[in-house]
Amino acid sequence: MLSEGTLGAVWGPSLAVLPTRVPREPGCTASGLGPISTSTSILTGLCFVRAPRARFWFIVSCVYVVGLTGAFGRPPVSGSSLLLCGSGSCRTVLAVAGKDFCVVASDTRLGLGYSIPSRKVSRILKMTDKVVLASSGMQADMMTLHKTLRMRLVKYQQNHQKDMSLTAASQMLSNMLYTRRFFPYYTFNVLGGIDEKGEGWAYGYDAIGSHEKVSAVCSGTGQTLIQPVLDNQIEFKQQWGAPKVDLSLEATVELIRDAFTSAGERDIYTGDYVEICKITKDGVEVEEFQLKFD
Amino acid sequence: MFLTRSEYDRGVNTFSPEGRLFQVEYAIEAIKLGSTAVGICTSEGVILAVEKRLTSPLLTPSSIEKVLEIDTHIGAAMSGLTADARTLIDHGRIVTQEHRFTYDEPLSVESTTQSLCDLALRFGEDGRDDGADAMARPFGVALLIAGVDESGPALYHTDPSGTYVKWMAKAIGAGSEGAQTALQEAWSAGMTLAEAEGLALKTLKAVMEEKVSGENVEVAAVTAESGKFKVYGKEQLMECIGRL
Amino acid sequence: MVFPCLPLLRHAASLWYGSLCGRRGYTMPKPVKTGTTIAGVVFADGIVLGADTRATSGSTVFEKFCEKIHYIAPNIYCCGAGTSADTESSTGLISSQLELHRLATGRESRVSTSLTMLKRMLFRYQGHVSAALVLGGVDLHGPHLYTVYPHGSTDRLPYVTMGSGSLAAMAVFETGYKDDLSLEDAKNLVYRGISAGIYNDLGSGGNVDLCIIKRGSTEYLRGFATENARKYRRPSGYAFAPGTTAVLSSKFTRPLKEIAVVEEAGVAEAAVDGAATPATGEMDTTT
Repeated sequence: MLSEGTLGAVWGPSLAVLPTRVPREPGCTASGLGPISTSTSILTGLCFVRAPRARFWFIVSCVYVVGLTGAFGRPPVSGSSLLLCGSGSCRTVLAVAGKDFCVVASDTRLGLGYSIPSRKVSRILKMTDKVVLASSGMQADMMTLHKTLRMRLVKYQQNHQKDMSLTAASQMLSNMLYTRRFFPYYTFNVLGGIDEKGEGWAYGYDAIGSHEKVSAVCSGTGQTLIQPVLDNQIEFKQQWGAPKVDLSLEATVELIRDAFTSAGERDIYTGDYVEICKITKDGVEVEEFQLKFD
Repeated sequence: MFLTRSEYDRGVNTFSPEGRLFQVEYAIEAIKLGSTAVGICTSEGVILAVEKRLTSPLLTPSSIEKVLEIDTHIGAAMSGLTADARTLIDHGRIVTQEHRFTYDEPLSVESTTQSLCDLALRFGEDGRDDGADAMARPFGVALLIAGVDESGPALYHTDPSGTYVKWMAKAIGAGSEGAQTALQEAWSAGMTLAEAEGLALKTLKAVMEEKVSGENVEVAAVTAESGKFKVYGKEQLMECIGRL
Repeated sequence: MVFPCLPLLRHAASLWYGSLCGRRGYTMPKPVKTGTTIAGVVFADGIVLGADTRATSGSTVFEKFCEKIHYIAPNIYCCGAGTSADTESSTGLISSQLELHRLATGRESRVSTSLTMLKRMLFRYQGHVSAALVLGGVDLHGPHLYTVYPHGSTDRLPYVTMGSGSLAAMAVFETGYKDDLSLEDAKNLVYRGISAGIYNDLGSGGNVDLCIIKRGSTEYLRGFATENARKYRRPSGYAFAPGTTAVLSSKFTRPLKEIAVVEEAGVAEAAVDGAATPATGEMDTTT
């Protein structure tokens, strides 16, 4: 693990990206861009706060300020999405496993309140040729998590002269999340890939490392819209007497395109593009699929 | 042997002008005083066999343990200062368990060996932040590490310098020179595990002063089929002595 | 003008209800908002009003093609942003009062009349009626364009925007507005302003609606631009065989009025009293 000092250095640049992403006009009124500029200056200040405890309270107070100004200073967004998207993030991510393949997908919109700081931000980490991770949640936490994961993957490869397996990656991710049990990474991960037996599997996580091995999982702002469809179409839930057939890779990708299109129709934080990673024994193929921009 | 013995043989961190670390070399010498241990690797698994020196008839033979399990799929035979070996094996047990906890998979035999060698090399260092105490001297023990992982059965030899080498058959300890020659002549690539078991005991018998009995040898095996490391029980041990 | 004070009392009661809900661990029901981009421009011959068509409830799109340009009078229209129910009922209330006013006076409604009625009503509710409006029309004094804020303050300007997408739309208007635009240029400017809101503000989306009000004519262009239709459908569709939904039990109840008691051949009497013919048409089937 990184020492606290190193972690501070890692946090710095990630958060410092915010000011450049958010358009800030001189002389704009408090009602419009107020909360963003407030949080920006505080978060930039955060880079200089190294002492772990001081940093903890600094961040707590930042979240508090962002929360308050977010709730009263701009058009209100409902509770959970405010926390999720008020800190610059959201995103819908999913993983669907097939017999000998797995598909991991995420849309690329970065939402912040009612703004779109970016239409194309990848939240997918190709861990190995057989394992892909997609994270929804807070952008800065995701970047740190992915950075730490990349380091761990290289270390594992060099120490053991092999790529991390799907099960090893799933367990490692769980442990990494649980080490921050009382100040978690604000990320909701889905992991997908092919295991040592060549079978496709998906793993769904909560923010502190609880995970489950499943055949289809969705996380993020579109979760409530997509998960029931996956349950119905992949696991044949609520289909009485219907034969349970395994979907082909192409059929699975078609379902995922449709699911994202539908989520984009009804969830304001899902849109722009979807990155669809098709994981087969031959490696990972990435497809970009366009959604609506409104 | 060490004709140029001088003040350079005192510190573990001081090279002699000839480029030697005497303390490490002395530690390797200590192993040659230890009881003999042999390990034989086949495609079916690995056999470890060790001699136990029963210095007195009043000694309880079962209290001498020279083959120990590190994880379910890895074990080690030792020669030299057995107390030092316990430290190493305890470290190996922790490392393999940590790996299982972190990655939900067994640690490979080579990585296990590497981690033991990392520890063996810490002589001369100051104590570390992680609570590891400073070591005053190198470990005076050699290990034969036998295990099975996804790339099959493997046998490794480690020495006090922190070096490890993979072997198909290896002998360590007092009788190692003679035993190694015998192994080199008898080992073949297509050996079965049963043949290896016989060869290990035969080799041991040849270099031991006492007659081989159920009391003064220990045998252990790890098989590719089960993936498990097992030290032979009394019955199983008597059986294979009987086959000699 | 008589305006019932009952709603005011009811509102006070609802505030009390809200606090009660909070104390008992319930929350107030969430109203539907029109996250919205609305705008208007004065051009040479009149007014062009514009609006997007998205209504949201939290982060969920509640309605993809809602109408945000409301009718006030034949020569006056009003775009609404804020809580849907508030904008719809405010504009509806004022338009019906103006209709009565026209019947009583026989004159065309004036934009300033509707403006005054709206702002007086909104002020009375102290901002609790969340309606942010763009009001435009042409009367005997010519074209008029106003914004009305939820607390009742108003502006009269040549180009206005409102709603969460107002900054995006105003950025376009500030760049492109000129006095005495032609109709085509004005339509294009409003279209571009609303589009800026649709694409850059998450609270706005869907189509662009326009409304052109000139002296003596009004043109409502519903779906002036429809660029955000669904782009993809799964080729295989979703077919479910009959019986996919399990029938656990079923129960048929025949309406009592259809039960007829036949006394003799040729003489029929309807049994109206249910008690006289106790539930004969009831079957329980369990599968």
